[in-house]
Amino acid sequence: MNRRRAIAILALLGALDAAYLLLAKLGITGPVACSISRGCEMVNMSEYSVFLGFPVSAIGLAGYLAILLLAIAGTLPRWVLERWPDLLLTLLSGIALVFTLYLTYAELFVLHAICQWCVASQVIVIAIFVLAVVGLRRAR
Amino acid sequence: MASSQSKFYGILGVILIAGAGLIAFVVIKNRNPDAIATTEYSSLTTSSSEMVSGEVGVARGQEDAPVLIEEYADYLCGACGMVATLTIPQVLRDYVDTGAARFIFYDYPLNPGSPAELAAQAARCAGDQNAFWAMHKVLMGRQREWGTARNVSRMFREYADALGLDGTAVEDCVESGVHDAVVQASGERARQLGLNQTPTFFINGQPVVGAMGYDRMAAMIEEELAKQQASQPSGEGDEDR
Repeated sequence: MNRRRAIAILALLGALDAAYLLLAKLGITGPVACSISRGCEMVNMSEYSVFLGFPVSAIGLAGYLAILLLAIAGTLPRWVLERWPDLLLTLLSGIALVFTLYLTYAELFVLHAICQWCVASQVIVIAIFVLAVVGLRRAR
Repeated sequence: MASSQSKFYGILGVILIAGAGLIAFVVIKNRNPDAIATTEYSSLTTSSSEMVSGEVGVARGQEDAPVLIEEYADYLCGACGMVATLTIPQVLRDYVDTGAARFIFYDYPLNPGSPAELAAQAARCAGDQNAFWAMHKVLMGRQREWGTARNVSRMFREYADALGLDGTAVEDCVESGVHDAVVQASGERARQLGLNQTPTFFINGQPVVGAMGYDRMAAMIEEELAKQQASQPSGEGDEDR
């Protein structure tokens, strides 16, 4: 119960983070450029910032919103004792984790640039995954 | 139970409002790009060492062209890739090759040791065979391909071969670092100018940071052309006065 609430809060933070990165990507929060002082532009404007034609920040935003809704649903009295929210949360955050690791790899080994907002998202995804897995095991 | 659930919704609401507010603040703050430009470039020549000569750039177009466009860019910057494939070729065709403008490209590798430095050299190596701009466009357009390649200089050879150049010569040229010094000097010039973002353009000395489409750049060039036409005396004979 509280674990799902924690996941919901984390997912909301992640969604805001992704929304910010998406706006930056679209050039709304400033000039579309790459910079030395801030690795974010470098990463967010790199070829790795698009996956299957979608900006990765948009994919992240959608994923976080899905996790957020799922986690909130899991805290509702009618579903709070059900196990499926934990299953779905583990599955979703597992996919997000794999995607995140791929992007982290690109940052560290290909682009040699670190974006603090992307790192924040990576930490959030890992935390959500751990919470979801713990929830799944407890529910057994 | 119900109260703890509503408290939970309250927390979510507070985070949402605070986060959205922060994002809105950043968006509004950055809405005024002119403010950035004037503060960042005001301290141009504070460096004690001598300014790196503009000759480290790669120029195209007539020297006496009325508009000078300078670009500082990194070969692995996505925004630079965007302008190199979507904006620059058309600008070169419509303004530079018609004599209205001169274009100078300066390398500004943002990350030391990045393959972007090698790509900068590869373009200049292709330039030795009079194909800088063709190679420049290929490298900028295929950032992801060579940026992830294990053997980058071999990729550069393949690109050069595809362009009908001597690919082996380009590969050897990159591996022996013929143009390493000039690429580094170009990056040093960018740092001396206090630039910290790519692409940075100077259109007749007026700084513009970030990627832009053809329409915007063409409008800026037209503006400069119009300014010069207005300041020039109307008759040819007036030149002597």
